[in-house]
Amino acid sequence: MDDKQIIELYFERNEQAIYETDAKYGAFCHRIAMNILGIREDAEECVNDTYYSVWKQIPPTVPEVFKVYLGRITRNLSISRFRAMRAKKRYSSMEIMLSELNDCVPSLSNVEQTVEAMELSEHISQWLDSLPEEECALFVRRYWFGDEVQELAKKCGITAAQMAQRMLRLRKSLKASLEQKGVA
Amino acid sequence: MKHEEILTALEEISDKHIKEAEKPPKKKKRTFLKMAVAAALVIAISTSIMNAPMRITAYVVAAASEPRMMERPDLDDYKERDEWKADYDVWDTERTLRNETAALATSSLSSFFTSGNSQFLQTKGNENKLWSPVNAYIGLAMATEITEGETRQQILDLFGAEDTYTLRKQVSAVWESVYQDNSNEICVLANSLWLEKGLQYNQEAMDAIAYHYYASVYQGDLGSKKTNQDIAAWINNNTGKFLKDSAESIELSPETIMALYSTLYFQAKWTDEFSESKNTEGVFHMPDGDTQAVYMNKKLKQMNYYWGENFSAVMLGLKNGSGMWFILPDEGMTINDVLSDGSYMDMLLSDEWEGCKYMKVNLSVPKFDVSSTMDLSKGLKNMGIQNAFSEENAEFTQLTSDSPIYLTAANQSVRVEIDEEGVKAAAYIEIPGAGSAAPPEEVIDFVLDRPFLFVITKDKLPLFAGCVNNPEN
Repeated sequence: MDDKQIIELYFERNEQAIYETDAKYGAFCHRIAMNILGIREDAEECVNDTYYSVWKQIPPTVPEVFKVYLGRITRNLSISRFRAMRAKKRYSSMEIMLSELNDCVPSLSNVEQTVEAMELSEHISQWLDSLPEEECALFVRRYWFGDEVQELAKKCGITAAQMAQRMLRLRKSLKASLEQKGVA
Repeated sequence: MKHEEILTALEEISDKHIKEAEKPPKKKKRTFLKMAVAAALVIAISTSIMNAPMRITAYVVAAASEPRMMERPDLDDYKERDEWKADYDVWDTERTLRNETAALATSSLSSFFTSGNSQFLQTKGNENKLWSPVNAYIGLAMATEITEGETRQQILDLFGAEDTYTLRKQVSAVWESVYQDNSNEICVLANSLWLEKGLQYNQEAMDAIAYHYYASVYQGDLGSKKTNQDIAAWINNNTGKFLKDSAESIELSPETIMALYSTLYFQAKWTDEFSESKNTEGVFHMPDGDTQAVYMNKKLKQMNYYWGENFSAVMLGLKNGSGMWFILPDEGMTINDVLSDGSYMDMLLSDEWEGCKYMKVNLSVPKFDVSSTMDLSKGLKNMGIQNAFSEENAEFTQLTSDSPIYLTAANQSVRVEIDEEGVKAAAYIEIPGAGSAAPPEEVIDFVLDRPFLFVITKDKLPLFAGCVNNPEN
């Protein structure tokens, strides 16, 4: 079933919509949640919460790209769960990702303005635009989809250490770009 | 700005970038397979257990089984989602079962770990003591395959296992759940049994050891220079030469007819590395006198801070999913007090430890590279393993009926090294004598500038434990 038909089902308030969403994108959502949380039960709950959230949002929302829309919701819910539960549970994959993102934080101390999240997103999108296609994809796979460095290395046919170096260069590049824009 | 803000901002990057990232990356030809890891080492640990009354040279009686765990199926390797899902379910079921069995083993071993820490980590003066609970567990568990009667029963009792079958399953699960070997993260348990040349052995038992305990069995001239070298080579191969000095000083006595060696080699990076530029030098207050130490520091680090009746603690995550606990006795208390009380183990093993708060911590951890070699036999006897060490009562009859065998020692060599990468000024700040009360402040200083305990756990399984009285060893 194509995405438009699935969205139609949501508009008709037909619960088949959820079944079709799961059949087509369940694995995709599950993978994002698993990458972030690493615990199957938690990941499954997040995916179920994603369906519930989509059910509430459509209508009136009409997603432009249904798959990305689902991925965003799953990612947000997984990160929210991580934040809520981190004191009790260990989500090591997410902790690693966060510690890596530290490298992107601009080190300007008393500079210009503190940016809003949306503005920061725009800066990051612009920086992604400036990258070669493959580097851009790698950064998004790692920090949006949460793919592990090892997994990415395997896919690219290089060693994990080489991939880690590549990622480090990307993080430093983002940091430099944000600093250049006076983001603090 | 913090990393969390970057994470949040990433939520709103454009659809285009997300769609593009979905395309499979171009695969490059591999130019080389391995990179040196030593330079990147942040924490490296090794240990070996050597039961000395016996041992060998090169003939392989049984070769250790290859790891039997499935790799996690990757969606990108599949054309059909259903095929991926089916494989994923098999992988997940296998992993869940293994984790459940390992968790069961861990919980039945908690009293072994607690009493072992208490037996082996009590110190006098400025000595450091280290041991690997999981290594001792697997080494001793292996002995159940070659013993019978009360000798075997005492080991089963210590590990809370009903029978050999249960213990095998638990050991395999523990081995598999701990096992990791890639260029950056290593956690490899290796076992070997060395038999005297000419000794008639029970092949079935040897095969069981090779399969269930991932152990290799060798036969040779125990006590000869050549076999000593073989053993040293085996230990070096399985520990990345981290225990080179103690491995190469092995000299089995010519009377030895069997020797058991287990190694656990562990190497992992902190999830949040220290920065060397923030290191400081400062005084470490040993039980007898002071010494200088290099402290690795983190300021205002958001983390869980734990406390109990007589200690406070933090846990630093490692990238392979394990964690290193630093347990600091309250002012006026000693490591021995904490060990005798034993409640810190509840904290390590429990999900619901009440004395925990997610808060900002100013952390100072001394760099250290400490090692110890210890004969565990006395402590093990105190814990109920009497017969295996008794010339009269030992029953190693599943190994051979050739001659009476008993264990004369259980030597364990452990070395633990931690370092940073990184960072910052730590003046001496006193830990509040918080007792069981919650820390009142929003920020707490956790400064390990006096003797402390550490435990490295993976899925609650204590891989290593030690007390550091002198970080300069």
